[in-house]
Amino acid sequence: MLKVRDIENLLQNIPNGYLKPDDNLFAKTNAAIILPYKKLGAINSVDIDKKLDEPDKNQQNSSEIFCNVFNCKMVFDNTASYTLHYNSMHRFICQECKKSLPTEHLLDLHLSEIHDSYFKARLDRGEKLYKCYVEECKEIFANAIERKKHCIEEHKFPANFRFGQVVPTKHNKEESKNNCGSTGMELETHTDTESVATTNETSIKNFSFGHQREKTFQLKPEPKTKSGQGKGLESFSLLKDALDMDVSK
Amino acid sequence: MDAAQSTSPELSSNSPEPKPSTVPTQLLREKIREYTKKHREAIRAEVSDSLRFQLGEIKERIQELDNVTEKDVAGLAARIKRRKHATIEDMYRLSHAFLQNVANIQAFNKIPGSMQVLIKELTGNDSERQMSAAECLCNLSLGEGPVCEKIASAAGSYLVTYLHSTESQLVRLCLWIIANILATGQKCASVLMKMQLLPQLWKMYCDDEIADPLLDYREDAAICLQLMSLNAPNLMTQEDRNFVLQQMADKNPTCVAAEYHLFIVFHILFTEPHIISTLYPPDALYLLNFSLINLNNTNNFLTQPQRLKILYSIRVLGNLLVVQPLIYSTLLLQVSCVWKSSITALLNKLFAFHNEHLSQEALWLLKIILHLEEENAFMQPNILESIHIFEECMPFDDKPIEEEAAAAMAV
Repeated sequence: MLKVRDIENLLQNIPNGYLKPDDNLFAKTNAAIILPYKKLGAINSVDIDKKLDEPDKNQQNSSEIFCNVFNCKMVFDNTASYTLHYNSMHRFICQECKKSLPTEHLLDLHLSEIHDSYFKARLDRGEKLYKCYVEECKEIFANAIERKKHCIEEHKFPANFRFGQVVPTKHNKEESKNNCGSTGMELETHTDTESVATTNETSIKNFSFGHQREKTFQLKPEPKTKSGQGKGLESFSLLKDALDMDVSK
Repeated sequence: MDAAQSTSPELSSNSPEPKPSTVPTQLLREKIREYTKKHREAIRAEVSDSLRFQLGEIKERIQELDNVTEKDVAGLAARIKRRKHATIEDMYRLSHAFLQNVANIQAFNKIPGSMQVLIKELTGNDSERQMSAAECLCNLSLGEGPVCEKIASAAGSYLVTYLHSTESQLVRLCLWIIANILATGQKCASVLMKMQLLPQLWKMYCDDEIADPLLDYREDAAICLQLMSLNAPNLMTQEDRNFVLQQMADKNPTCVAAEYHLFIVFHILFTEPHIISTLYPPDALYLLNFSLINLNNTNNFLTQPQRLKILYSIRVLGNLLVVQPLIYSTLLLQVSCVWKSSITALLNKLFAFHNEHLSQEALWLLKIILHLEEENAFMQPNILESIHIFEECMPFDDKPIEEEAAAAMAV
C-alpha cells in the first residue's frame, strides 16, 4: 500500500486540469484496454435452414402462405419470408397508384406531391412545400428540381435516386427516358396517367384534401347528366368522370 | 457429384460466359449449415439470424470450404453486369467470395458497373434479392478505402433511407454496412455524415420503446455512433454537436448499450471545454448521475462494457468538475445521500481493480478533487490518508517509491 507521500509524488506526474479526448493519458489507456472495432461481414443462416427444411415442407402443402394483398400472387413456405415480403413490398404502399415505397417519409412525400390537390393549390400560391428526401433534414424547397439539387449537393445523393418523386411533366418524361437509356438501369419514374390527371385537375378548382377520390359510397348522377338542367355543373361532372375513366384505364 | 450437377444447368446453358467457380454452391451451403448448427448451439442467446465473420475468418472456421478465386469473382461480376440483374445464387457466391479475402473484393471492384447491379437489387422489388444484395454489400464493405468510398457514394443514400424500414434484418444489415464504412476511413465516412446520419442513429440508439426484440437496433446504432465519434469527430458539423447536446439526456443509464453513451458524448462534446462549461445545470447533473450510476453499479473491470463504463465515467466526471467546479458539492451530496458512500470509497474502488492504466486516470480524478477541496475548503479530513493504492497497480517508471529506494541505496 502506498503512503501519503508516495501518492503525492505520484500525483506530480499526473497531468492537471481539463483533458481533451485525444490527450496522451486517455490515448494510452484506450490503446491498452479498449478493443478496436473489427470489420465484420455477414451471412444469413435463415436461408440455409430454409433450404434444409425444403423436403419436409414439400410434403405439407397445407403450410403454404398466400399473400393476401390484392393482385399479389406470391406464395411462401414460411412466415419469415412472408413477413419479409410484406414489409418490403406492401408496408408503405400508395392506395391511389399502388406504388410501393420503402419508408413512411417517402410515402408521405409521394402522397402529398402526387395525389394531393390541396398541396398543388398551395404550391400555385407560391408556398415552399417540397420537403427533403432525408427525413432528418428540415429544408423545404419551392420545387422538386431545387430539392434534387440540394440532395445531390448537400447530402451526396446519386443523381438517379430511385425513390425520388418525379414531377410528371413532359420535360421530365423525356429526361427519364434519356436516363434509362444512358444508365441502362430501371429508373422508377412517375409517368402514369393518374398523376397526369391530377395535374390537369388543378386547373379545375376541385379540392379534395388529400384524397382525390372520396372513400364513401357515391351515387352516380347519371339521370341528371341526361336531363338538360344545370349545364355548367353538368360539363364539370362530365369532365371529372372522363378523367376518372382515364385513371381507371 | 450431385451437388455439382445441381448448379451446372444454369451455367452450362450460357457456354460463352466465363465459368463462375469450380466449387458447387450446394457444398458451400452444406459447410455453412454445419457451422451454423454448431454456432447456434454455442450461443443460444443471439437473436440475429446472421453469422458474422471477419475477412478471411470463414476459411479458418469452416476448414473444408474451398477457395473462390479472383477469376471466379471477375466472371460473376461480368455476368451480373451483362445481365443487369443478379440472382440470389450469384449474390450468395459473391458474398462468400468477399468474405474469403481482399483480393476477391478488389477483383469485383475492378469491373465497372458491377456494384450498380447490386444496388439495383438492393432497391428492387424482390425482397429476397434485396436481402442478398444487402448481405453482399456488407461483405464488400470489408474491403479497403476505395471500395468503401464507392459503396458510400453509390449506395449510401439507400442505406440511410432503409434505416427507417420496417424490415428488421434489412435495417440491421444497413447498420452493419454503415459501421464497416465508418471504420474504414474519414473519406468514406464523410459521405455518410452528409446524409444526416448522426440524428438518425441517435434516435435509434435512444429509442427505449421497443415492442419486439428483433426491432432493437440500439447496440448496432451505438457501435456506429462510437465509430463516428472516434474516427470522424472533425467531420461533425455544429448542427450535429448541437443535436447531441440537446438530446444527450434521452438515454437511460440502465438500458441496452448504455455503456457506449458516455464514450459517444465524451468524444463529441468534450472536445471543446467551453461546450461543457456552458452546459445547462440539468444536463450537467444528468452527466454526473450517469457517471455515478456507472461507477457504483460496475463491480468488475474485465469486459469491454465494464471498462467503457468506468473509464468514461472518470473522464466525464473529471472534466466536468474542472469546468463546473460548483457541481462538486452536488457530487458529494449524491455520493453520500444516494449511494451511501464517500468519495474516497469510490476512488478506492477504482484503485482496487488493480489496473495501472485505470489507476493513472483515477489519480487524475483524485488530483482534481484535491484541488477542489483546497479551493472550496470543504476540508474532508485527510483524503489522501484514506486512499488505498496498491503498489502493483502502478507502472514501474512512475513509482516514486522505487526511485526513492534507488536514491537511498546510492547514498
